[in-house]
Amino acid sequence: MTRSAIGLLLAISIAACAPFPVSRDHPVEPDSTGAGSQANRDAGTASAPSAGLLQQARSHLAAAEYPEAAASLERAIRIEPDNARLWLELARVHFASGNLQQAQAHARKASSLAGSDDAARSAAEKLLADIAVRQR
Amino acid sequence: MLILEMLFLRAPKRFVAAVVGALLLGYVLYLSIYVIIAFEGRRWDIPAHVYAAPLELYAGMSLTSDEFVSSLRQTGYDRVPEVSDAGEYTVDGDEVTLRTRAFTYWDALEPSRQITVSVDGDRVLSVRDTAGEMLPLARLEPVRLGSLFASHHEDRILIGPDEIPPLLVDALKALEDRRYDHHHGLDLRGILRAAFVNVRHGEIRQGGSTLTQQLVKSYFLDNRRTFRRKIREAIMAVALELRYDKDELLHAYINEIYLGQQGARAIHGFGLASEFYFSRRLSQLELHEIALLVSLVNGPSYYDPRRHPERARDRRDRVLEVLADQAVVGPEKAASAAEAALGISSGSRMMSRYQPAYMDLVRQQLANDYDKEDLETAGLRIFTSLDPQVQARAERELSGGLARLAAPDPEPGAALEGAVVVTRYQTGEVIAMVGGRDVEFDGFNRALNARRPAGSLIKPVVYLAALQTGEYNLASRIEDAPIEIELENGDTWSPKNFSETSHGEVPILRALAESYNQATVRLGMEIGVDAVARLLQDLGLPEAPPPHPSLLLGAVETTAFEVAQVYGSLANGGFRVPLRAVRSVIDAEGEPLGRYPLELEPVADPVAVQQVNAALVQVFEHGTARTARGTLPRGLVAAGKTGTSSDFRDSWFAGFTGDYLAVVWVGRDDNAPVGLTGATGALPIWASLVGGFDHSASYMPAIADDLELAWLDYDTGLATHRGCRDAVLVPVPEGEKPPQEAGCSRGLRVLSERVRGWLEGTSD
Repeated sequence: MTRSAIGLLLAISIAACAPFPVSRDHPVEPDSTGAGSQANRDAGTASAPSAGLLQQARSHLAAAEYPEAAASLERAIRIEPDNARLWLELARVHFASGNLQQAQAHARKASSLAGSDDAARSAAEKLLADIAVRQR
Repeated sequence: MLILEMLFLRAPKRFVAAVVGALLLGYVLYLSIYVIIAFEGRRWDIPAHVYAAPLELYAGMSLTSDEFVSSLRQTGYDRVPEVSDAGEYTVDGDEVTLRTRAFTYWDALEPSRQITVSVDGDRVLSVRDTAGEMLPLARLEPVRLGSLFASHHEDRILIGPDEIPPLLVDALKALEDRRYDHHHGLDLRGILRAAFVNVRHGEIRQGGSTLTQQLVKSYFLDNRRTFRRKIREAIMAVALELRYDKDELLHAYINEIYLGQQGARAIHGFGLASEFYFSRRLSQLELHEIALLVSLVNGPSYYDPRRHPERARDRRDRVLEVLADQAVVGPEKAASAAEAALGISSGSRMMSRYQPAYMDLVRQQLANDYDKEDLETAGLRIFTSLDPQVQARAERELSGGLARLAAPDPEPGAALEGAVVVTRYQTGEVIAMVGGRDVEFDGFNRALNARRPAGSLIKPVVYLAALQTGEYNLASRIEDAPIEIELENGDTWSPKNFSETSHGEVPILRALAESYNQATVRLGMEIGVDAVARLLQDLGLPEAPPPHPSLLLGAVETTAFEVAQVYGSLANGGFRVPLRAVRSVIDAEGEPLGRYPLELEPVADPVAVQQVNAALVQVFEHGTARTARGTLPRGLVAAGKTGTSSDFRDSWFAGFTGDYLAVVWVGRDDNAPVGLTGATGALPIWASLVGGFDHSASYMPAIADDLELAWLDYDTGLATHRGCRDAVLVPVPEGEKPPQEAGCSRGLRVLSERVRGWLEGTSD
């Protein structure tokens, strides 16, 4: 009994001597608002709230920051779920990141929402053709 | 034991004393290490915080100033004459000016900024910064819903040392431990004084425990009043005092102490208590509010200001007296604070209101990607799509609707229950979930876990499977006549219509809108039950149900959540968008960890889906949901379907508008008949809920290239003209427009049929 008590005590002491608190100081990434607010300013003349987000997404796309680009577009789609151009841009992000399956689905969705926006429809069709080429 | 005895028998007394001393020392050492580990654990283990969706503000959005102010209050904003700090707002006519709090989102850190929002009636006119520049978009930091807590369902918001109001510190010392700054964990004088006070007043007015002892007690959740426990507590308190300084201990106390209960969720620490009781940040609290929180230390349940407001008020005022006696505040200040109302927030204005049903969904979604350990200790921040306003509305509509439906005094255990799921189907985001009429009950989540027969909710899938073959369209006439089906076990199944009558040849449009059983079974047998079962899985059921003929009338058990997934695929025109509650996760330092992206999967032919949806629109115009027309705003186009299981055990409605999809289930936990159809039980709740959403857009199906719009006579499916009675505009495949009907049926016949239909009531 004594031995196990001492053992327990020893174990706890050793545990207690372990250096804690555990270090959690990961380097904090510099905040990414710079690019975002720049894009917002450029799009300042646009009235639609999603215009700024679309621009922001394009800068992310240009920088190959795909998740960030997709996040901006999804934020815009929440505000304007029927805007074919937002879905089209999201399709492009998927295409650029190599996710052809999602690129194709999003391009089809964009095309189905295009309505009288012929430019958006033909852009979606063109992207679908590009996807088909890449899939071959 | 033998060894011990031998040791003690043979050893000299001095040696025995040494061993006993060593054992005692060991015990003290053991307790010390034990409590220090507990202390460090609490200091560093932070459960994941879960946030609702932030409110996005932009010109043109629909929002009244009342709704906006309600959102601000729920987010813990204080109304002030002039905005000078983050978390404050002013209202000037139709303009609201506020300063946001800095907040780290998954995608960006948004600094605090001052904005002015102009509202005209139910629309936002403009969002401007202090310089008057228009802002295209601004977001209000999200409401914190609670934690994914682990042990004992403890929830807390950790408050940093610099966020603690000095008044709180002084009040705690004055009330609980006057010699805190001088003792070493134990206060003998305090114990004697407390005993004296208690004897003099004949009641427990003061406890003798120091703050440090209370802290220790809280760590080990042991309320047994034994002498041995007191000794342990005392040793541990002294050990903490030797290891940590006074400020560290007080800081830990303020984050640790138990201050209330909401269902199964235990409210710990003054940071969370401040939000829980007042919907305000701790740093914003005034004297009378701090006094109330301090008064809860001794009995959060006994002095619960929501359940016992008078008792709580007496206690608070006595605390204020003590604060004045101890010269913590001046007597005039204490007296005027005692004049103030309790100021407890309630209902949808409550900040940090825990949502057990929605939290289940959050846990379920995260379980695949995150360790339980990380969720409970690593201080993660989880961003969800919960819309606090819609959630509050869904809770209200369900409990109100059930109260209207239920018998006044049901037998015990026979209460009518319900569940609601609301999604933004285009993105697959779940924005509200109610798991039962008692929303704070953290138990059986019916929306996620109650599997009930779907009834006629299945029918659109039967028709979709038929239309996908390309051999049918909405105008195709099918036979609604008695049918006998040989089952595998040798029985014969002969389904009846709800009205007990058969309708002969009817167009698919009407068969679906009016939910005819015989027509549906005939069509389903024609195309094969297998195809329907497979399509159900493609659209969103976790697995294909067994392909028995009774599946065609909904003999498949589904949850409201699964129905929302299936109907989401319809609403999205044949794309399945997996339902999600969590948008993204960041770690304690604000670094992005994971994101749950929007995903689409084509699962059904858009041409067929758009036709089915057009029939689901007619459910509201001519079919089983026409009784709800009066509840929905004029001109709002919605699509949906009623569902009723056999013997009226389950009442369902699933439907969507241009932006929302909602599923409502009503039934009983013991599966007893409730005597309600989908139209009389779930539909009124659905219509009142969806009709109340701010200017929900109409459902406007995109018309695929292969479809054209045609005016059909609702009764016959023949082509007719706009303006003719019962003419409905629906999509049909190009080139398959049905033959023109002779004349325009405006006659008495149709009118009298309509009247008869109304008199007979809603069929299912």
